[in-house]
Amino acid sequence: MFDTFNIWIDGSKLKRQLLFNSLPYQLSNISEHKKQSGEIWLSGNLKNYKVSISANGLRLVGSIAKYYLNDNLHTLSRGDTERAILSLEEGLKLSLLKANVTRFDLGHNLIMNDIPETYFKFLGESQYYNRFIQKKSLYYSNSIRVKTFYNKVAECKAKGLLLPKEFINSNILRYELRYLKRATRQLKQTEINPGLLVNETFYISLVTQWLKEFETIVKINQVKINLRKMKKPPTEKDFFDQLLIQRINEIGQDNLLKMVDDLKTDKIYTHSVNYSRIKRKIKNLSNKPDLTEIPDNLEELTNKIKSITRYFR
Amino acid sequence: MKIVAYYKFIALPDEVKKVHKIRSNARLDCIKFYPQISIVSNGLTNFVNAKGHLALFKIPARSIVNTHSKRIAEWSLTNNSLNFSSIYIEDIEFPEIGYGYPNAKRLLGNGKLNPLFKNRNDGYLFLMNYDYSEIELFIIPDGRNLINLYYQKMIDGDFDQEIKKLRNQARPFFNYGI
Repeated sequence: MFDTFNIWIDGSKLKRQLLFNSLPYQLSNISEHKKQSGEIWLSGNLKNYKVSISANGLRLVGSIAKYYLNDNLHTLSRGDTERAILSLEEGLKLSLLKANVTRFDLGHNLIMNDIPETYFKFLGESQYYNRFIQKKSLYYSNSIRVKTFYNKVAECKAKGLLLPKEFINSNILRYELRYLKRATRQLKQTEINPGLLVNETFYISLVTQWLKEFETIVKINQVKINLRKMKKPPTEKDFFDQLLIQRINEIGQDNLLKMVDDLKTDKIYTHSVNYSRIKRKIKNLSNKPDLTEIPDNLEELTNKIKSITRYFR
Repeated sequence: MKIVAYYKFIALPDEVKKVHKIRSNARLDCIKFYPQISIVSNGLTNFVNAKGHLALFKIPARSIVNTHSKRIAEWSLTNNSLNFSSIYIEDIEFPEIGYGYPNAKRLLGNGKLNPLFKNRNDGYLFLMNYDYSEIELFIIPDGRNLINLYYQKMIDGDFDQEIKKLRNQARPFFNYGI
């Protein structure tokens, strides 16, 4: 499931001779740069990895899936990641035991019944994240993490990447969780090295977290138009609630929550708790079990994401 | 066509088993196959015995696979203490469809060379009946890291025509006299 896998090895852990004399021979497109302070650093490539070498240390930026399998349409299992790390070590002629993983992404491709963009409208807000939608992708971001859903086929076409012909007309949705920074703190570890990431127990906890991050997204259910279909006898309030939900649906939960944020900016209410209450009411109403139902698309997406965690491969 | 080989394994009827001196109830014998590539190149020769039977034993993966309990499949196909593949069924709404792949390690747990190492990039799709007494194996070369997508495509019925064609083209692997 690993994709981007950025690595940093502190200069103090490496011999200077290795950094500047041996390592550059493993790289292509090597070039020398000079900082204003006069310090020299080198940059180059190891296949898709961008490598920079300075007296401070060695930095590798890139996708381990692309390094090992040439693209990230293929998914690296835990065992394959282990082998990919070994292959990276061979490529660098350097042990990565002492390396720190500074950023990593966990992602999986899912073949869907409909085009990936169809599913975005059912995924609402997520606490501690800012949601923003683009033409072919949906992002949830904060300063340390990003979760994203996007049309993988569209991305491959845009980047001019070759798709296996069996998948050219498929609806491939990619769900990715990116640990951008401070992963040690987020995952309560003293350090994160490649060995830890492929440790079975830790890997299981990461994949579980990948699922949890999906589950914490507020799901937008469909309104049941017919009160006669309700399990319990409907009340008068249910009738008016239904009207409200229909209106929420028309405006869009997203837009409505943004409207509440605008009210907050204009300081319409005296207490900030009022804004939170309105938001909570909107979210609760949108998912009231008796008045709403889970759309087929959402159920399909949830089941497919859950199934990936069945064996933690 | 992405699937290059097809093998049908079945639990032989008791009278046939008796004739061929087969005692195990867990054994599944290959009765039909269709290789576009030779059996040698897909690694299955390692599972052919001296009599020329290609057989796999369906055993609980827990008893042979040494990994975290949450990562183990229910069933595994083995023979001669060599694990061919586990059968992973991720979508429980389709218990008759599974996927797998060979062990990609160079050495086996006992320190011997893994004969399936050269086939480590292959991906397998399985079609089973309700009691796993019939298992059809489909081999996709270099499909290991895309096997999840092929698995989903199989669930969606995208391989139905291809499978039908392979079944029609299949010929007997060994004459058991069925």
